[in-house]
Amino acid sequence: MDKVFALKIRKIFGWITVGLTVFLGALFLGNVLDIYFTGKAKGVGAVVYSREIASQHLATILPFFIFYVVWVIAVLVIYTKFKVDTKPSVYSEPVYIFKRYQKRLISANALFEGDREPLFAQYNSVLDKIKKLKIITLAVWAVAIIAFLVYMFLPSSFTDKNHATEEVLRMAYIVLPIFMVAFAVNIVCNYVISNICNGFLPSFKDLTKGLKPVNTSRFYDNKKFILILRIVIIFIGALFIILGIALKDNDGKNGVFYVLQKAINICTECIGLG
Amino acid sequence: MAKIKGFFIKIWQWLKDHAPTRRRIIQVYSALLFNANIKGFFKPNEIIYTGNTKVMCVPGLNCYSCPGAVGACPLGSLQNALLLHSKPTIMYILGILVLFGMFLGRTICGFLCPMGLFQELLHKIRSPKLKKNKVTRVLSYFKYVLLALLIIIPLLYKGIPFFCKYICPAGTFEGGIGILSEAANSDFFAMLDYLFTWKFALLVIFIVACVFIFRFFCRFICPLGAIYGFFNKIALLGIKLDKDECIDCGKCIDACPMDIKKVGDHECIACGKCVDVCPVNAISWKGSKFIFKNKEAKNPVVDSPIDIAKLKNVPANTEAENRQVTAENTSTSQEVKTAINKPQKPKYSRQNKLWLKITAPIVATVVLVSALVYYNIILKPDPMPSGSSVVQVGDEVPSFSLELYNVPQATLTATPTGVSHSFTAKFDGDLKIQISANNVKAFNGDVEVSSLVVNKGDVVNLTFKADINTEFTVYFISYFDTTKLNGKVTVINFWQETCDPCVAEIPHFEDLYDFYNGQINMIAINDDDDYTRRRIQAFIDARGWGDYDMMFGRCLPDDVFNAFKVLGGKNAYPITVVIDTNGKVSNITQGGLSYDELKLIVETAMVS
Repeated sequence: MDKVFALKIRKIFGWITVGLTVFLGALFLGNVLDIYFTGKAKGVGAVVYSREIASQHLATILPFFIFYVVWVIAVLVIYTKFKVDTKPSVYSEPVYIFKRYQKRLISANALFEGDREPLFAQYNSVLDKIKKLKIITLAVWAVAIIAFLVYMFLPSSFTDKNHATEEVLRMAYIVLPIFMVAFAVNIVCNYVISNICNGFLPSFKDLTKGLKPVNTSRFYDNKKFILILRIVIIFIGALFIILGIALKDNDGKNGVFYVLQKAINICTECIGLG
Repeated sequence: MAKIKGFFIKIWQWLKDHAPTRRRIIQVYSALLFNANIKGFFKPNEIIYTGNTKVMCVPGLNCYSCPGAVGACPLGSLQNALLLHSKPTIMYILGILVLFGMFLGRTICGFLCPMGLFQELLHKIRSPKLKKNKVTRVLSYFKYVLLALLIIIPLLYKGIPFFCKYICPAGTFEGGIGILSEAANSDFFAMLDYLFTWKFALLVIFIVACVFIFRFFCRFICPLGAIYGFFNKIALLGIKLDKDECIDCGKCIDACPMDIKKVGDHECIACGKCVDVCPVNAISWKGSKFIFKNKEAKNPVVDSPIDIAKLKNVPANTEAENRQVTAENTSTSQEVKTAINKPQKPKYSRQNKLWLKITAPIVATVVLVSALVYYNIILKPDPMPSGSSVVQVGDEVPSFSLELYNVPQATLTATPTGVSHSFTAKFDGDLKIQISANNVKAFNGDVEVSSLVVNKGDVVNLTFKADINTEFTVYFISYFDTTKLNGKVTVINFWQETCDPCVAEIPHFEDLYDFYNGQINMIAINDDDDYTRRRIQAFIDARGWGDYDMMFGRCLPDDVFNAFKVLGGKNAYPITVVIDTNGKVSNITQGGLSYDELKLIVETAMVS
């Protein structure tokens, strides 16, 4: 079978599946919001959710859901029929290739003379740029974490334990945007670093020609250290469990009691029932 | 005939080609094992399993409110432990998490977590997929933010299981929808409100996202994966990289669907895809020499100097670039020859060692079958069904009596001539006088009494006498008795201190009680025992409820009549039962009630 034709078929059916999936999700979302806001509009005491209302709305979605299931199975068969052999590609993210080249430089600093000297100077300036961007990223994260901690532990931030839900939501409105900004800055910096790396890659190739990669070892490559660490951590874990069973709190109950109490009673708000 | 045979051969071949991998089989197996109480989905009187195996946490994310769950959820248990500020519980849960992390690391995510299985099955729907990139790599750290919030918020606030309440889709899907799908639980619909709407919307978004993004929840949201990720490098099970063999071709990172930087780092879920694609066998399973047979590679990993040149130097992206690289690197042919002559690292076979091949399936099958038989056939339900209300609307309220909290007390010294003590009765009904010293007696006038019948507001004057001067403490214990409702509408609320909606609605109950100014009875009941009495009393006092006019009752597990079991319903809180003026149950509501909602119910009961 013609590979291009097979790819086209797979693409078409794949994108239709995308559309159907999003549409089905929107149907479910729409129905649940419809039930909620219709009940709210009617006022206090009006039924928001009931088994009958939920069943009615599910009945409207059911035919489409059945169609979706049949469609998914059909696409599965189509993909099998229009099979395309794809060669696995080598990971081409510039940052990772850059790091692989860096490994070749570790043992070869003294060799950068003659033709390679300007390239090495260029490499150092690229490193400086990357370092600055990483500092910016870290700084933004540090600001976000400090702002979060300051807000969380300020006495005035959480005053009303009787309305904890509202307090937590207020915190979310204030604190989450700070983290979103930190994530956004991080992503932008990553893109810039990637572009810088990509721009230098051809020169890096010349710089590292003929050099072998050197794998550096880190503390967790030391087998003895790892063995001791594992023993200590396992011991601590076992000790914690024993203490949790043996120790009792002021009410004379151990840790196992509270775990069981929680697990055998339905926490309706934990499972989203309210 | 030949055509029919050919058709079946094709079907058989298709099944063979698409047979589940071992990892998939283990995932399905563990999902079934952790939810072995299958009858919970079908029996209305036993919504969730309430047995003792729930003291143990399962390794993956499996909500304990799922009707089939036979173990506790580690995240939910951790949050509960932090909410209670109970050191033994925190230690117990942390110990379990540490051991799971240390032995298995994020192999739990790849092999044992039911949520992971669910997401991977959704991802199998054929559609264009969003591949990992710089953005997903950064966003994979969001779960650490959530982990910090999971720890900090419950510590700051009692009553907020933050992750479970606002985010966790496992609870909504397994617990919420699992419970609502049973027809006998239709009364749970009455408590659905904004929270269910929010969580259901979130669940839909997660499900749709999982179709396009591999393990969307695991990669970006799950705090449990974040916890186990800390142990990944040093865990006993998982993936390891032989750095001496690694040639940095990057095929492992390309094959991996997670956002790893290196094989086996904190994002690795040990799915094993990198093991299959590594051209030099540098990647293997930890402990593989105990599990797999060594098998010498039949062919050298690389067949020609050209291949080695391609792999060891610039990882080329195009064929043209490949040829160029090869030409450029002919000067390294000596290195290449040395590499070929180097002994090949043996390739680990997919064939398990024989002893494992035989014993593992047998042991696994025995365990699963035993669990299914035990939970579904051998275990019998409680004789008094704790999973449903015995009373229904319209029934007479059963007769029972409960001791109340807010017990006035006094520490006095009794003398032969007597010491007086007076107080104002807070509630109508029987008042039991409990004295800590045996030789002290209480007198109402000249009559020795051990209990009194009082009305709310009565000033009670008592004299305490003893043969010799004796210091003692006296408790005046009031009771709530359903046989003495005095023809008033009675609101009975069942609450738990760790239940946020319960705690939030009690002030509304007090407001309504004040509004009716004694024309109704109002009591909030907590199931209790002698150990937790002080804690509940302290909780009541800390919230300022000690000054409330409404009653707070204790329901002891050893009571002959256990109000909690009969009226408390389906192990779910809060529950409000309203008794009308004729002593009949006029309303049973599950879930929190606002002031207006409760007032409407009380007014309806007054009219009926």
